[in-house]
Amino acid sequence: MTNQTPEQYFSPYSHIIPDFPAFCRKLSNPLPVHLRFNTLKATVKQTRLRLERRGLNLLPEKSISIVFRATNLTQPGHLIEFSLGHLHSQALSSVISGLALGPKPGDAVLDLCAAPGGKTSLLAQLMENRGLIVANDRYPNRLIPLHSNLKRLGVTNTVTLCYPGQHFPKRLRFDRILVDVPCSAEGTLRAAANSNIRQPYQSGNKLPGLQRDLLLRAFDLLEPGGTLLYSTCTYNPDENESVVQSLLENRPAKVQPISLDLPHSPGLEQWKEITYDATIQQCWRIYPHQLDTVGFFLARVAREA
Amino acid sequence: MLNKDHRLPSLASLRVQTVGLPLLRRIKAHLKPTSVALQLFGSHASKNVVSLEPDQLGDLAERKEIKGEFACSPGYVIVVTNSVIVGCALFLPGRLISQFPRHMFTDQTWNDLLQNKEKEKSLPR
Repeated sequence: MTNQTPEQYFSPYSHIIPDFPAFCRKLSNPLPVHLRFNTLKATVKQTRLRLERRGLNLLPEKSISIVFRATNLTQPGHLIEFSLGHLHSQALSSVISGLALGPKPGDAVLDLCAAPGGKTSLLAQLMENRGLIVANDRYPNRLIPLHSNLKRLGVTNTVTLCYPGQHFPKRLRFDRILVDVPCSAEGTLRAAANSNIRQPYQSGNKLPGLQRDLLLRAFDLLEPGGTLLYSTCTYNPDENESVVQSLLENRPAKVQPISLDLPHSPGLEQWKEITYDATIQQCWRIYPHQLDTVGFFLARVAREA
Repeated sequence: MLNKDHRLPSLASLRVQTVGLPLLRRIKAHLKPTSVALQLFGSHASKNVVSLEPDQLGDLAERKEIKGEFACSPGYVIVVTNSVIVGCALFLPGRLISQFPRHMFTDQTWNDLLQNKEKEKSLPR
């Protein structure tokens, strides 16, 4: 990847990404620093005031009152407010995935691939630390940063488990499930800074199979009437629309619209020889030239009551 | 500490790694409140709260102990700076000993804290 320009690397997607030249130009800019203010420990007003008094330039993000873009900050992990858990450095698109799932206080929520815990702690924040979150990750070493972040951010409603997500035990059903799967992470690529992209085609193209298994298991863990959110930080339709299509073909699942007012593109109608179910266009594709953050794919899926 | 929830018994037979937020740790015969718990609930305390200037807090973090007399009983106390709860310390007569988690603050964090102090001094009141 390091030897390829964005135009070269992403050329297979040139016909599906709107305004492809603008997309490629955007990739030469560094990723912006977004801060999610953690209202479990301090109010947005308190944290904002404290940071602005010290000269930080904070721009509110449209429609998301808990997220600010810091334009003159490069290392948010050095802020005292970070250590105290008053904020978390988190991509805007990651926050959107939690908001799109929309857990309520009192819900039973599963975060199937939870580490390092940024999205889990956001779910706890949205649930006001009420109800129950089960945060699972299959790798014990990835539970260390998960536990650390949950403690720092003051999360009190979460139990952590360590199972392969595709074999998660079916002993409890959940109202909401976040399925933020391992992916090729193309959406994190910015030409200047990030060269450690995992190559899906060099890894034997195993990711879509794993993603499909994770999504199927997540659906089986939903309460009737429950909702899951499938997300990746990649543009590859094989890891996105094709995985959701597979779910629709194998389970009584229904894609739902995401009711947030933010720039995005719809899910694809077609990729290679596959024509997708029309409802997949209700999925979101987040491109950095439309919304300056990590590229993302979101699918909100309901299990009928 | 974990919120009461009627679904918790369903998890009993699973390989649970952690549960909720650690509230207390047993230190020999004593129970020590964790800094993360104090950050959440310490605002309800009406005594045994020690307010430090940021440079005193930096010294406490760096040297693990500072000298001084504080208006509180010997034992575990809540450390506050600029009205923000930082965590737990042990007060013994004439000494305040840090109980902050080892990796809670980095050197850069303390630099940020001390810079804050300088900037706040220069702000018009």
